[in-house]
Amino acid sequence: MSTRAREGKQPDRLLLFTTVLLCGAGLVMVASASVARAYTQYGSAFYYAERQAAWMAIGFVALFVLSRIDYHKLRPLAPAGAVVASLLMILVLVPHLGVTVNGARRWFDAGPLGTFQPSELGKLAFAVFVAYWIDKNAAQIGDFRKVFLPFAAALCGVLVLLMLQRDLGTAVVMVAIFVSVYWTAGGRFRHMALLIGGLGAGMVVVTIKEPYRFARLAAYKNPFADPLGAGFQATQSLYGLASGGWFGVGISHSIEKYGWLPEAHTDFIFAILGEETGLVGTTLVMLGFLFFGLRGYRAALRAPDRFGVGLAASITTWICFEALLNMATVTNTLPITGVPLPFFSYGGTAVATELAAVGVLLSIARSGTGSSLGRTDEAIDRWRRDRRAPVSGARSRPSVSR
Amino acid sequence: MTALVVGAARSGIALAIHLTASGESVRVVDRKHAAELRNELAQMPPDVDLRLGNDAGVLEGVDVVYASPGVPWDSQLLNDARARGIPVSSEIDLFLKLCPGTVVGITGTNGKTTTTALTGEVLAAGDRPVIVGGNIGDTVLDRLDEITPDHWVVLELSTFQLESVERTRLHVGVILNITPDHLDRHGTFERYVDLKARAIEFAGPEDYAVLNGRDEVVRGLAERTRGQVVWFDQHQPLPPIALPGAHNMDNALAAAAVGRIAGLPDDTINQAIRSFKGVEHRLELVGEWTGVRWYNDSKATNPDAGRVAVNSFPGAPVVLIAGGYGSGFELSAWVSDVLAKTEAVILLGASAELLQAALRHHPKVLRVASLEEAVEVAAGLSRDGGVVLFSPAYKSYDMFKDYEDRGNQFKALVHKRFAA
Repeated sequence: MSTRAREGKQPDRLLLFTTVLLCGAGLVMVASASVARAYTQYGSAFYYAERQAAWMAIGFVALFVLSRIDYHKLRPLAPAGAVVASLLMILVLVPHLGVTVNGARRWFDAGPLGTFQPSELGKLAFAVFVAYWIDKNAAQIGDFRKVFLPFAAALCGVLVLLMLQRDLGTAVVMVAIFVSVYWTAGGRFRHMALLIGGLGAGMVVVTIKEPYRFARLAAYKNPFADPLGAGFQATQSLYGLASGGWFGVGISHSIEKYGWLPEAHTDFIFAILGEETGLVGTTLVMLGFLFFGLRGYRAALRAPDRFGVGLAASITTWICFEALLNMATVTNTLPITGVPLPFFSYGGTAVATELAAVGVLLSIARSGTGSSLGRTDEAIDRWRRDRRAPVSGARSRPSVSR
Repeated sequence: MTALVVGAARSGIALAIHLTASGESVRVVDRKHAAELRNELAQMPPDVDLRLGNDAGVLEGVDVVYASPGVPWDSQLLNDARARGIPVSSEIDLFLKLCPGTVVGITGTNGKTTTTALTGEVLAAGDRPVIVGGNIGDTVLDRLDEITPDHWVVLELSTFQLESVERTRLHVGVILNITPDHLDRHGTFERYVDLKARAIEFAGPEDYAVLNGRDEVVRGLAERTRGQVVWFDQHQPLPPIALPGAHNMDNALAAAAVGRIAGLPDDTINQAIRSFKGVEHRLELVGEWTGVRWYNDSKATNPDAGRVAVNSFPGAPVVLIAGGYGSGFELSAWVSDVLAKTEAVILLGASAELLQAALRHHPKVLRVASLEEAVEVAAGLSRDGGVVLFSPAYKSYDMFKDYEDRGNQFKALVHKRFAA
């Protein structure tokens, strides 16, 4: 019965289609943006593109599998997943196990596939875990000591691990993942404000203590004050976007990627996108993420249970918030935090995990056909109620057989 | 017109009275004999044509057949009627066709009664008049005259009743959970699910299907309705239910979701839920003596309901009194919960021997001969801060009249024990 019923359910094709488009565009951009670096470093122009394609393939297999299975099967795995992710994030800090790049130790060597970054896997593992834990404790959600303190402590523990990897970007995204679940379960606004305020203060302290972060902050205020030093990346990024103009210089014709813009194929790929495809290209990608967000939150609003709501909301927030943060960094709207652009930036673990997460999101979207009357949906509901009282139609019963 | 009423019990009487009053000539048939039905027959309208025991010619001249809820929908008599082209209806079918109010139908394997009562309380907190009925006790047919188009009618609908309605068009259909139970009468689980789905299958676009998204089977039913699906697990903030157990939170969530559909403000809904004291015989607090809380859960007539009760007191030492009449239950889940959550188990009734074997790994299992002895033994075993839980997980037939009688006896024995 239930299996027959489930087979009839349609997956959210729009969400899948958007993801495929973004990934396709992302792969093209990785290939284009990494050509110069790949050729000079590895003697093969498509070194990065090949690895990204391989990880994307792994990601799509995960997406396909996870979208087919009921997301409730993840529930019992949630605690184990969080423990494994935490252990990997601790192990990566051990000097001979972890690989250091640009002064940050965040990766394992993954042989032919390049590197493996446990904190990316951690985003999905913790999204599932927090959705599970908050669902379990939903009855006491407003309780400061029973729910808020353990929740905040768990988040802080993860943040400490990320700060030890010098990964402020992932830390900020992790806060968004945790808080979005807390919010969907009806957590107190006061508590969230307290948490974010406290973390903000902590971030200020960390920024002041780390010289490179402080320099980034100074460069953010006016990158052109020191265009060859601290402001170099920001100015090159802006040059790239500016020379793209309306329609761009054409795919593969970027100048910035030839050694000018650092991290052109990873965190700053959006600048190359802007240079090569112009405002049209960047706007389309932004609309893609906007649409992804709409479909993702729609899945959250229609999810059949609290676990699904929390999980869908956290995955959507993670992808969209990360994209927003990345674009803000590239356009120098925010100081450089070092987050990848989902589906675009080179980084195998990131893209594979993101696609796996989209698989979970698709599974939730498939289970939920309902319209919730929950708090988050209240505005829509009130609008509907204003237009016609929900039961007045039922009361007059135009079509009931007598 | 001659109408045949099948079954002379509570709803059979209501049917006979209603049909007689609306000018039909009524014939009542029951397998039982006059001696067994003395009380019921006294309430029948005087001009009813009674056919008791086995009567071969009972269908002669009948234009329509109305079945009581206890009558199997595929029984020989009803099938014979269908074969002769006589339309077969039922009490609830008749009621739904005639009821002018807005109907909220609540079904599910467990929790129907509590949710129906609670939903009634929630809706009563609003401006419109409310009538609560269905499986819960009184039949609703005899109250048809009071019902106006402004009324909310909250009905507890059993699978039997859902089966016997031609088109169950409910304005709000609530499905709480679906677990294997009553399979003896409905055959396969698939068939059972199909019958439960009738609560939402006939809904129109302006109707609502209130579903438990946490229940895997119920989740799968969402696409079988054209009504607006409301997942009650999404309701926020959680309603302030005073009753113990996660299942009662589900019941409260469902009632709160119906309250919102009715357009009631959250404060009103929560006020009604906060002051709800529960249903008799359903995890009912009998009282507290020497630091021990005594609960009557006589309505738990299957292991699934028994599990729900056993899981309702996390952390407290529980002395469980269980056992009764019945067979064919899948016990493994109940056994593992009882092993994990109870300190001692006291068994009585026909199933005691079977349960004792199933619970052989439990450190403390005792068998008693009577409910009185069970209460006495439980009082000796319980300790401060603990719970004595009478949740039989079986039907009551061997020692009591019904679950209500069983629960009342338990309560009387407990009160007697502590009166001194």
